[in-house]
Amino acid sequence: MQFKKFIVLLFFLNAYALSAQHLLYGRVTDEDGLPLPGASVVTRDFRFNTTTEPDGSFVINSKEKICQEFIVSFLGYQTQSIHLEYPYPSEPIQIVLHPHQQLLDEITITDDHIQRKLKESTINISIASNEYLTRNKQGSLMKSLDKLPGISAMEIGSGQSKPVIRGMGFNRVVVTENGIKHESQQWGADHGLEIDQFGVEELEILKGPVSLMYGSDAMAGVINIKSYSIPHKNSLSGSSELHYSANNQLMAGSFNLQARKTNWFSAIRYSVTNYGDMTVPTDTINVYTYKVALNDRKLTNTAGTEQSFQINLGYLGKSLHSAFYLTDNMSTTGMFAHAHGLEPRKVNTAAHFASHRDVLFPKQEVNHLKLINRTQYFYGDHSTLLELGFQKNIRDEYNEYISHGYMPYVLPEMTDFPDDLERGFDKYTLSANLRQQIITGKKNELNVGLNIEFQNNKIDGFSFIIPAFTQWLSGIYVMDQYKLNEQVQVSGGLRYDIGQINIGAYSDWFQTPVQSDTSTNFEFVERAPELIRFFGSWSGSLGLSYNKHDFGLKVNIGKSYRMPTPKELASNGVNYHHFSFEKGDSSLNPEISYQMDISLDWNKRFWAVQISPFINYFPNYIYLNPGYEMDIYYGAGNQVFNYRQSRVFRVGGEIQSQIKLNKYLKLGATAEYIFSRQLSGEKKGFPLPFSPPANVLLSLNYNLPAFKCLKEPYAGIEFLWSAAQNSIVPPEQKTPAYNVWSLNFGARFLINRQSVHVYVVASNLFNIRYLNHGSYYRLISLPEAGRNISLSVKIPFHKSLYGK
Amino acid sequence: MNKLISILILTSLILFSCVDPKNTVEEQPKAEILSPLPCDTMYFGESFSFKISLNDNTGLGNISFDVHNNFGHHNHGAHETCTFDPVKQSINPYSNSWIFSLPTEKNEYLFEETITLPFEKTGTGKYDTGDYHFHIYITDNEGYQVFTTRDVKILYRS
Repeated sequence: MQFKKFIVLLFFLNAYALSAQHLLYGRVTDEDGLPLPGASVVTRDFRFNTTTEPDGSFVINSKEKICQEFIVSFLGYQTQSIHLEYPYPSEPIQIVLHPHQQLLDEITITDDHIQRKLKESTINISIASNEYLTRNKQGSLMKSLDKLPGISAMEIGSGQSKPVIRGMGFNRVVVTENGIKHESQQWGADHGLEIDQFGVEELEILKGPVSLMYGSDAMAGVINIKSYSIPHKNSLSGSSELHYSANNQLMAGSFNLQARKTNWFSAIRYSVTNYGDMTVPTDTINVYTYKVALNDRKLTNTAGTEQSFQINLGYLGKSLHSAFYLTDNMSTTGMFAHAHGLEPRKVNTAAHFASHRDVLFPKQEVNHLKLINRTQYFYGDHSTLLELGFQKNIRDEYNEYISHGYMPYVLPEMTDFPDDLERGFDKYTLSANLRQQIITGKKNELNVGLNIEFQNNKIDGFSFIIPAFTQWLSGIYVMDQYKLNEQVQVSGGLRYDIGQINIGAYSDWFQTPVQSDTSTNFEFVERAPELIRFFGSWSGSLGLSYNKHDFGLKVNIGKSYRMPTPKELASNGVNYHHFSFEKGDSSLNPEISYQMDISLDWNKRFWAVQISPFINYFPNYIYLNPGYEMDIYYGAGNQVFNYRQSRVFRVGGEIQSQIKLNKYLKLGATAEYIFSRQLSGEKKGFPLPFSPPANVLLSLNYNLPAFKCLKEPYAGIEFLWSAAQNSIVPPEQKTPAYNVWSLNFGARFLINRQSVHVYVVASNLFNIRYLNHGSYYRLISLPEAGRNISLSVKIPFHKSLYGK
Repeated sequence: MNKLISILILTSLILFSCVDPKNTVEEQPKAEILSPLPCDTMYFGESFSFKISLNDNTGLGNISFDVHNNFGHHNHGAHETCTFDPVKQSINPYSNSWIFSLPTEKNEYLFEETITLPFEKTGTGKYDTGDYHFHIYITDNEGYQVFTTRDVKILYRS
């Protein structure tokens, strides 16, 4: 009974009479009945659009009989969507927009078409808006999303983090930006996301096996990032944002400007972040058996900077939409010296302690440049979408030259890499997606698509872990969504992927003494032989969604696949972070996963509950197994870790609930739990590494009424309880339970018709020392960040440019 | 609807019960270096006994150790507080490494090995004398690893 809801929004006026059949008249006002000039009115497919006149009125003159959703939006107000059946009402429709006043404790849903999408999709989707991210802003994008159930951030220092969905990360989660798969060095533990969090307009998280739409790697889920919004017609808008975090003295700023004439739009954004060393509630850190003293409780050399630049340029025609998105992200990050490098032989403690803001060795510099074009062509009920992408990802790890094993003690001058380049990884990616959408009637939506991706990866530096490689990936899919009736929607699809990995041979640049039967020979040891592998695999899914009144059910079964990465196939070197010698296995098979997801939803007037369990089985999970052997050739005697495949079973899920205590007060509770077991192999009976412990997040939110110039003020308190993680696998250690309190409050100040948003988050209020089992630095028992107060200020502006 | 939910719960319970968890106490091996002692002095061209007492709940794996100079006074954190010689540049430093298998079925073991330090390097002559240290890694049969160090001085007997 979705329609009933819309009817409430429609108040009929009798000011005008309908003169032509295909004309839709309306007027957009605020709650007080004042006109909103320059508001945008578009059909859901963006084919018909207009902007309101100074008196708030608009007319849509369509040549065809269109019956669908109209989306009405105005900056600072909640977007509204109205579903209209043909013929249109004869009187102009009156649309009242309400100012933003959002839920804080969970994903903000301001948009009815988003709500509909969430309901009808058979996959578990969460959506975070730009506003949610601003209110919960932390040092890095994934950290800002950390609170969401089933989502966690694997932190690498304070300025970077990688996405983890239900305990799985690295190459088991796909991140897309503006439709193109984000290709960086996902395999690397110390690699961040390289996406400007200020620029994220909308972020969508799909939990579950979604290889069907995204191909290889989408085992645990997908994070879709939209870093653009389409400005209103004839408008100029933008915002300035500032962010400060006390813990690591982070200062960040972002400025954006967007404009649209009738059909053309353009946007630019520049963001810069600069942060100092992270503060931890401890004076010493035990790196294995060593005790490392910290100066002033600052984690040495974890400072960094990040800069990001973005330009969008697009055309919105009647039947053709095309836009270019160019982003360039540059960062420099220091690495905690004692966690990086077998032994920080040349750590100059005095230099490291001298300043909390400088970045010394070891450090990494990353540049991610991306150019994307998205072109969509509409004809009748069908549309064709073409997405093209070029990405350049350069990641350089710098350190003073240190000889390991048989490397010469002093770096010879004839080497062809810079003296201080420990490892360099250059990745060039070309991607193309083609999708044909065929809508038959109101019930059926068919999508047929093709994805192609080519990668060229080069390596550099004095230290070796993975060889250079090229990679081709290609997949075709067919997907269908069918509405059985108002309540039931089914969807399903099939996909076939082929891929080729072409790994180049690599030999050491220095000589190693190799013992033969009779003598010792000095050889340039071959660390990786040439290898060509072809892969092919089916994936698919079948799902159902059922919605009746206040109850919703989703069931989805899927098969996903992942091509082994070159690191899993051919690595042969020391991982300095984990004191391990990692050895790939060139015979690994593509990883397969079968998963069933269920989501049960009750949405009553005073309470809401969502339960989303999953069951997951891998016949051949690729796992880095620590053995008891030690490596000889590389000299330093590191423990050998081998890539192995084993059967794995996982089960778990999340529960989200909310109670409205009164008009202003809301109590929320979310809980998550994951159980995993290896069913075969050398670690049979053990769980998977980095398994997140059970945890519960309780929150109490108070949304106050507006008070003078203070609009939408709110305050909230949160309590996170995490159980101990005693289910561990070598080389992990048990992680004790902990609880953390945090506070948040904020408001929009309206000063002379100018809005100023101010948000404050105080996390780890009592400066608790705790360990996060999913943290990248857990192996060296590095505690999480201490108390942090962060402040975000956002000043938006909007100007209509309608003609006189 | 309720029927479907109960079937799902039942299925997951059955699946749960099929999985038998590993019933062991996951523990890292323990190591105590008996020789050389902290800040010991040893001599190029002579032998010394490398002795370490090992202990693990499930069985042992491998032991590896290496020796390298510490002329720059580099620090691994908590060390014995030996008196270091003044900082100096290395010219012809000594370094070496060893790997041995340990009995994987034994929970307790005394590892003992006689190590002979060479007198000089073929071609380059006498080694640099002064501060050196040993890096010792021990694994158990489950794949846990521990890591410890020992600071010594290596000199020429006059």
